[in-house]
Amino acid sequence: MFSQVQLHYFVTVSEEGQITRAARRLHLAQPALSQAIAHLESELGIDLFVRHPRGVTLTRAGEAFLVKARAALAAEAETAQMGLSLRRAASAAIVVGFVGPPPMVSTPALFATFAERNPDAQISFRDLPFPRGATTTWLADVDVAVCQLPMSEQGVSVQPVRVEPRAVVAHRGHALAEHPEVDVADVLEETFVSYHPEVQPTWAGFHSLDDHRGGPPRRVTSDNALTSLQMLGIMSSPRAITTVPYADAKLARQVLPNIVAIPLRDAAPAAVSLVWREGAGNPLLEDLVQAATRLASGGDELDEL
Amino acid sequence: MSSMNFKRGHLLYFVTVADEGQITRAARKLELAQPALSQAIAQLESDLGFKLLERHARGVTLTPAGEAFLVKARAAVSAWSDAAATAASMARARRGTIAFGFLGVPPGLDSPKVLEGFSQANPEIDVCYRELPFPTAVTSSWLGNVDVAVCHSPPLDPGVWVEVLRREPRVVLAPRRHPLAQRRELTVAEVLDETFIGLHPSVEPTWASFWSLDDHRGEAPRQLTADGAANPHEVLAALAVRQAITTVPASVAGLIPNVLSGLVAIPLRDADPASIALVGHEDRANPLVQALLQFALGNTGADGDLAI
Repeated sequence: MFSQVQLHYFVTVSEEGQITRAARRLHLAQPALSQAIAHLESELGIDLFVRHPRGVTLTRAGEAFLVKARAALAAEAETAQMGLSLRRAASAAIVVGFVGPPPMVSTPALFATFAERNPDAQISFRDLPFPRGATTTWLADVDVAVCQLPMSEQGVSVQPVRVEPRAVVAHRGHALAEHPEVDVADVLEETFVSYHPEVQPTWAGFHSLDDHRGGPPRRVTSDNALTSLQMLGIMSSPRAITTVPYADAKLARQVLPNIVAIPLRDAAPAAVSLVWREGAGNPLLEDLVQAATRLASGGDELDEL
Repeated sequence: MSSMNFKRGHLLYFVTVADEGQITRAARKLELAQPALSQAIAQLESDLGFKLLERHARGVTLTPAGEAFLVKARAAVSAWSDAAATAASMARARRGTIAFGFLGVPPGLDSPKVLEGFSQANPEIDVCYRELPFPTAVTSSWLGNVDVAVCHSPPLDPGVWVEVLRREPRVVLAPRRHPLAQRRELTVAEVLDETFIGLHPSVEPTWASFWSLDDHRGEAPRQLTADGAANPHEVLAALAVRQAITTVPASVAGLIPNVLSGLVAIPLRDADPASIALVGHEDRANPLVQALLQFALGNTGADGDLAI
């Protein structure tokens, strides 16, 4: 049967529509890729592509096979991810993803409790971009993420750690910067930081106050953010604002002297949460969720900031 | 720690062992030596870094991690074999060949008209017949490597299309020494309490229960034989030695007593008919199958029956 590498080459060529471009993306010499595709075609006994002077297009058989090849690659990748999660579960290891400030900073009590209860756990942290595509795919490489709520999805569980007000983040030179606090109505018409088009719309919309406006901002920046750092990067000049949980805003202000954090008096609060894919049964994850549940009912997490 | 390298072939081994519950039985099914299979599973466990199976004296059971991994492994195995089967179907179409699945009675015997007509109209297309067992839970994997099959409609699943060709009365099939064997005709009410031939648990339950008239009774028969028949031949073999009956489509019933003199076919006056259908893979876009389907649908007889 064909190999994973062959399928990957085939999918890449079909996406690029050109052997040359696909070869560049795959870091292969063009003749090597042509040969690999021809070899796959002869192994399968079908023509996958029609060759033109300016590129290649899929045959009907190629189109039908592309759907199946993608599904096969995705299923194998999911199997490997599940294998890694289960290996971590079996070896007292856990990978915690986060968006924005690291969990030691954003949820210190939770991780202090967790570390105390699990002194031998191998815990590692991974900075995640804003959620895009399916939430399960976004969570593929971590056992759990600490962040605001991504798109809800079957197979994804959520445990709030704390609920907190939102704050406006802006450059010190922005017209709003002098206000000790603002109302939602004061800022709805501002220019907002633009989010990468692939970022989940509910996520981007929450930061731009779409939930209060009932739609996207009238004006957004031309550059867009896929990560928290890019978002702060856009904030390097006084042209746009965004909103984040208040603790994140305060932290940004402490680290970046040009940033101000302005409490938003009447915005719906943000829920900083644990978000995870179900299925691997990692005992450390269960312990972390338990600790978060206790903290959420106690409500003392925020006091430490 | 962070990379995951296992052999894809080992996933199939693992899924088979999990399904069979025993290394020995799985080895037989995979046509492998038992020690080779044990070693492959141990290698997979070592590649993964966790245990998949608990070994007992009488077989194996899955660990909780094994159960979670099985779900993904099964999906990967089936996605890869689906990709391979799709390519094989396209390759056959390019060679001008259709793999045509059937149950028991060859389509050329019980429904000669369309296949002859189709072959005459498309002399360049070669139809190869493949006998199938009774439909199992997932229709698309049951069809597996055939392009299209003809049988009583299996339940719809997202991977297949079903095109009903004709409806046929159900007929009782019984051994000649059965008390009902002398009857010229029967009603459903007269046979509901009979013992029926039991089919294999892997046979799709709705499809299986149709032949023991559960659709009329509203429940399983009072008595099913323990035969566990998985294909038509096993049903016929069981009928020869049991005091039990089954039902079959009329076209099949018309042929059986000619071949097996120990069996009788008795019309069932008031049973709902069987729907004989063409069944194919939804997303394989096989041009020859489309031609066959078009031909079959364009050849409806005056009686409303399609002549396949």
